[in-house]
Amino acid sequence: MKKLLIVLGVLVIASIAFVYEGMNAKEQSKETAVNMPATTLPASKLTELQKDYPSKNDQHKKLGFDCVTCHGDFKDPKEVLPLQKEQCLTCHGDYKKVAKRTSFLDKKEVNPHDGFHHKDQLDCADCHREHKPSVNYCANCHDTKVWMKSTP
Amino acid sequence: MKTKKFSIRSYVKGKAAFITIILATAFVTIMIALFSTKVIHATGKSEFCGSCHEMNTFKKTYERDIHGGANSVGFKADCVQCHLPQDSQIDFLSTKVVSGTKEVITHFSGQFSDEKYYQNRKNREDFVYSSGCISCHQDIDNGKFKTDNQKAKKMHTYYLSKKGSKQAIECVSCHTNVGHNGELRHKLIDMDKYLDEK
Repeated sequence: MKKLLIVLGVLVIASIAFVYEGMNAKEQSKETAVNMPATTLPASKLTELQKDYPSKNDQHKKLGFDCVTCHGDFKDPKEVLPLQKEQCLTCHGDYKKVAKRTSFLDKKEVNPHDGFHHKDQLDCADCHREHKPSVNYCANCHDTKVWMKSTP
Repeated sequence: MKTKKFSIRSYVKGKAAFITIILATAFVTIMIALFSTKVIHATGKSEFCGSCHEMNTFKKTYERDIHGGANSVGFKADCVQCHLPQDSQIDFLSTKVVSGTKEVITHFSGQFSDEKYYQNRKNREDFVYSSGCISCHQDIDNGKFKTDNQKAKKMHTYYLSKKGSKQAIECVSCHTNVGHNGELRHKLIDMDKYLDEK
């Protein structure tokens, strides 16, 4: 009887452990020795700067981007320039790719990335701002409240 | 109790014992069948996953994706190669059992909707496993990644520098379009609701 109980106990514990493992399976990703190239300004200074210029983009925040990720390395914060379209597109692909990704807006024919006007002539920053609230360029002429959500 | 010798025989007496043994044998057989490699493989393919109609969207978009056979070399990844962890067999199996059970419960209780799937896209790191990506795209992980695109190189170094830390990012954190031809947002969205949430 005792042995049977032990066997049963082991089985029960094993299956609980198995289910627990399945519910909490986080891959065991190991830390690597890889580091990002050192920046001219120390990391502490960059964190400070980031408090003054916080990102308003949830996705970029989630990825943990710092100033250097987008703006490149710099010595003096004053020399940092706003991003050009081409710089955004090094990660976001090209205009066509962005238009495809946002093609769910096509259903109402309101995809500004493949719009009736301008096509691929607009700069990203005409609407999307990283450190300030974004603006809706279309609203310069249109009453967009009916057919557009606030600009991400 | 102490003096009583343990013997199987003492348990194999009577009708109740007989039924217990039959049930136990059936249970063990089912478990073995479930865990045999063939079944594990068969239940990881899109034909199996797509046999429930709530998976229709996912199956169709996957079939149009480069990972779902829409390529010139005829390569096709199974659902589980991305959607289950590939770092160890135990992780793989236990996650398969638990998430599979969840899916079955969701299926029979009918608690699924396009809206829920749409909302769940933001939790994508929880159900698309980087170890799955890396099991094929090994160069990303071993540092031999070659590209002419300097920014791509930089961002993959960034991934490696964060890997395993608390601020770790996963492949799908950035590669949002992968696996389903970038169509899921498009297919699952309810435009009227989307415009309402201002």
